[in-house]
Amino acid sequence: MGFSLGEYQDMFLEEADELLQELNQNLLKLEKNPSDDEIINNIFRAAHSLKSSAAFVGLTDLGDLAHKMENLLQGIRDKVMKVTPAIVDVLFQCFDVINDVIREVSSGNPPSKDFSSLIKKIESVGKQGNIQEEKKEAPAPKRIQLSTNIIKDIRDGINNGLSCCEIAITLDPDAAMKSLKVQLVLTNLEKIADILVTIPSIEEVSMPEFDNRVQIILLTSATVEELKKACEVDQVTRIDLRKIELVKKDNKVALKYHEQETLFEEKPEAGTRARDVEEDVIPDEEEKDEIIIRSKDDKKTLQLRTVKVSVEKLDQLLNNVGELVIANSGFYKLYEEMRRLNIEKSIINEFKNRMEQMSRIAKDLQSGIMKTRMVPIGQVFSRFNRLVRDLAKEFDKKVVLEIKGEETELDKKVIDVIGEPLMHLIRNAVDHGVESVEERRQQKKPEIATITLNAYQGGNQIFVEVSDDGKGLDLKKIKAKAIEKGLASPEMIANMDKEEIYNFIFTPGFSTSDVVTDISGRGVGMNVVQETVNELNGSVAIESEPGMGTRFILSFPLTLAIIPAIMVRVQRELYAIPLSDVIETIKILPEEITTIEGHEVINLRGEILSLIRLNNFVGIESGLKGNERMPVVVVGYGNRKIGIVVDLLEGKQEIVIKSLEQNYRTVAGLAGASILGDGSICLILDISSMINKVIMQQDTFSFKEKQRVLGAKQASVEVVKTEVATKEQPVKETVDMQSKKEIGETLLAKEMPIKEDIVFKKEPEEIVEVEEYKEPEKNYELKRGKDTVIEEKVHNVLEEFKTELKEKIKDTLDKKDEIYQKLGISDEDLGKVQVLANVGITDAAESLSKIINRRVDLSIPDVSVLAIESIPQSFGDVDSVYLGVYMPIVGQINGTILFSLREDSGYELVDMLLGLPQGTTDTLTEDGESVLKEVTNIVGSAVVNAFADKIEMAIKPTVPSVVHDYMQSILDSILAFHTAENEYALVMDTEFFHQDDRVIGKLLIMPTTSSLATIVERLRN
Amino acid sequence: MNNELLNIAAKTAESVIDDTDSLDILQLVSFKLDEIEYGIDILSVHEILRIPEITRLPNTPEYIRGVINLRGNVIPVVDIRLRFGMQQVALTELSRIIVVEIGEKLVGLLVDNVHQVIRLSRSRIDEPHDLIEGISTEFISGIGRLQDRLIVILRLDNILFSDEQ
Repeated sequence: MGFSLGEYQDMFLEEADELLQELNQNLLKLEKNPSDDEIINNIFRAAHSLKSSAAFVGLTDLGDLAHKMENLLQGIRDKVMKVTPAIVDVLFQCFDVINDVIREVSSGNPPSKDFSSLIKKIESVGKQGNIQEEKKEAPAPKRIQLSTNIIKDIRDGINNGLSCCEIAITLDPDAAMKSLKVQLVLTNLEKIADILVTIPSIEEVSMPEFDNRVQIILLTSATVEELKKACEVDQVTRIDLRKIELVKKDNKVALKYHEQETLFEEKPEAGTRARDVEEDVIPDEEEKDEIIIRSKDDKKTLQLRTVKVSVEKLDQLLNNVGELVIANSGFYKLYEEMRRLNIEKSIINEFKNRMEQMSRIAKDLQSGIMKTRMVPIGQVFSRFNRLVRDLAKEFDKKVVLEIKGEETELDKKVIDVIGEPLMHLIRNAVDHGVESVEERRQQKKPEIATITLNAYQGGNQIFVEVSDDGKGLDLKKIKAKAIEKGLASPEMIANMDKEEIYNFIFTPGFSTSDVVTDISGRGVGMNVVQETVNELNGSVAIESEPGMGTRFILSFPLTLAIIPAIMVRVQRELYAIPLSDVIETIKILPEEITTIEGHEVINLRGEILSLIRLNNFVGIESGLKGNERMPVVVVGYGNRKIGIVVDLLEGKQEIVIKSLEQNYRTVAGLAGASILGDGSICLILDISSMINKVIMQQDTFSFKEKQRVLGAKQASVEVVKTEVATKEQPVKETVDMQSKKEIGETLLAKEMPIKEDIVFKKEPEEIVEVEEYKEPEKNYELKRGKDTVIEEKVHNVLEEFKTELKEKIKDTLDKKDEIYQKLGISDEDLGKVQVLANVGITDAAESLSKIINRRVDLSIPDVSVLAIESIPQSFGDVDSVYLGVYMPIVGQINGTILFSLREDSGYELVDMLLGLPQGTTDTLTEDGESVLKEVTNIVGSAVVNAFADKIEMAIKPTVPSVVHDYMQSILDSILAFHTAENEYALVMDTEFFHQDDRVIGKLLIMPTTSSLATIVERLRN
Repeated sequence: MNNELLNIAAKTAESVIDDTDSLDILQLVSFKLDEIEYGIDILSVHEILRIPEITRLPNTPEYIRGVINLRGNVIPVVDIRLRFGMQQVALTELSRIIVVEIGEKLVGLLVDNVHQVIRLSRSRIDEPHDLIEGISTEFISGIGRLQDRLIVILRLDNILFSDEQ
């Protein structure tokens, strides 16, 4: 580090940073309530402290700037100036400049800023802001006219336990540089007191009218002696002090001046001042109060009572306490041993008592130290007020930032790094999330958008939310971008739920923004968000509703040092899997494992789950016998998951993470080690690296192979509930309660997508049955019983869900008339459409017959308008694999033409057209694909041309694509892409046959809803 | 320094004093593998342990026997025999782990036995030469001569990691 301000640098930087925060906050408030005295005073005080500490470390320029700020603020405070936007802006500029200086200094550079222009600015706005020019009181007034503000200050100060007094110092009339002397006194006093008024002001001291006497009213906690010392400056000839108190009189609070006490007098003057009564002050006939002096409860000592401790030291302590907790658990073992050995009961009981006492103390110590690491998130949140204000100005939007849960405490480590991801989320919210005032007005939303920052604790997690009431995420845009970027194929996307699609926005370089602004749109921010959160073992979830807004929910474990983990064994070796990575634990039969290209997989509820055998991963033989059910821990990272086959599920345990790097180096596949209660070491698996390894292989699996597995029977999964592993778990009660909750969550979550987890965790008490802890030995049977109960429950829930789904589908199918009405079409219209479809499809059949050089029969097109979600059902055989060729149509009519063929008839067609013997083609080759595309192109164009002719509109087919998948997926991907914005679609469904009545394929024509309206309108005319 | 080390020191101190006059004396903890005696500078020895439970560390070279818990520290254990390319032997009552400091790291060295603490004048140490069977010179800092004994003085820098790592 080059530049340094000496030993107080760190202290100064930290303090300055805090003060700046405070200043920013208060100035924002002042902008809204320009007349709030309290805010003005707070600002003034902070500016003042900043000035003093800058001067203290030798940053005199900065001190000067702060001084000018202070002057400006004093004007506002004393009501000689008004808070104008110009003043606020200048002050914000000052804060920014000071902030820059602090940054420079903390990075070891000397401050390079020149403040002169800014100082000029301050001076000029100061003049403009003046309400009355020079509302100076008569020089050296004998009576101090206290403004109501000052009286209020005095009252507040006294209420806060400070003492108020007036000090009068008299200078030697012959003294040189009187203002300097006075300044010196003031500077001294400032260190121990808050100076409220100085009369005459320091500027007036140098004027000829100065009568060598300065009266200072101040609030302090210092002793008379200390005050006296502060005033004892060379050539000060006399110091007088009067205590000021609050008294109630006629329901009014008045200030009462005590009798003056002369603390110091060089040459006793004749005729002591007899200025006892002022304005709202009653003379004091009582005793001379021995002034002041509280040693407790006052501000100054309070400050001394907090100690700043480095996080490293706390970490070290926490580590040690972790060891203590663990070491302590060794006693439980000893206790069990003693019981077995038939040692005298009373000794055992005494031992037990002591042991439990110690465990309690250790636990308290642990949570105590953990708490010291916890910092309220408010200080992070409040920084964003300024950001939102500036961003809103920049984008010309109206946004307020609402802050909730600022008292929620997070681990210091999280607090330190959470700022950046939050900043990105807020920037995005202002830039992309929130609409312009105009748009909002059109949508009848409040003109002022709200961005909300919220933090709260739920179970073992802390949640931090950033939400806006803007337009919501654009699902369509994200999908399109994901495909454009090659992140997923259309069919993959069709199978994804909303949350999975939202997750694409975390991909590096992913931005749906058309315009890259300074603020956002580069697609970097969201990636930073996810990376940061992942580093903290947290996760991000997104909820978004079009037109309603978007909510990002960041969740973090309560503490980072101790994590819950599932303990597993391979032979005798014990490994820990962090619970945050675990989705569920199941048992499967060995025969249910199949292989794809040598890799083991199972069909887990219709999903391919790649397996990794832990024994292979750690390089030893498995201890499993061939025929028994194998425990599998299903783990997830991001939206990928795999199953880890282990020999034995040991249970759950809280572990302290130790790095392997400290004495060795990182080891592939291991996240670290942990020392257990008995002193043995267990290794912690690095799930993300394991998954990455397996997933890379999985991605190379061919479609056909995947199908084979998915076509096979689903594995008969037995869900295993993981109990708390160890009998000697030291912090039984709490840990068990927590683990019960988590087990509940894991069980419930198992039928849900991973991300749903978070929704549950928010309010765990609603869904979790919390059981009392039971002695492990008795627990065994209960556990069994509970398993089956839970299985039943899950089963029931699934059944209900299915029934509900069926009814929903039935509903939509029955709604035909309703749909027609809604779209404003009649059966007659539809009849016309059918005629049109007939023409188009006859043309299509003709071209098809020309291509294959055979006669082609066709069914009469079935024309209907269907709700999007029921289209797959109307198709019939959605669970078979088809070759689907879809061709978007664009122009005045938009939509999709889908030519779908069963695999065999598709291959037959390919053979036919390539002139190969029938039965040659049995997979979809590149040639086959282009043949199918060409056929669809010709058939589709025929339809399009017929339509275009008939309704006299410009319609154009575009390039067809081939999808080889289940019909359901094919339809999903089309529906997702071409009719996503519509609720309904016109479906024209025709089947083509060979001469011998064998089906060739189906042709579906699906214009979008709006196009449908266009068609209907044209046909009516 | 723990008791074990002190015991050895006490037991053997008088018998192996070589040159008593100079400050230029190197103290070594010595152990024997297959009749060859090796010495480690006592200044880098942290302590000597009886064999505790060793947790195997997967995905590491074979010579890393695993990790042990040294009062809350997780430290790796190098099997010196395997590291030197010798045959592994079963652990015995005499087997020990010499915990040494290599840079900032604490590392355990698994040896067949701990023989003696030797005081040796630096003048009696020769440059390493190729006489020592099998052991790569990367692990040797010199050869000490003590009466009729030869002591291979180890250099620990490369003991934990292989070149390719």
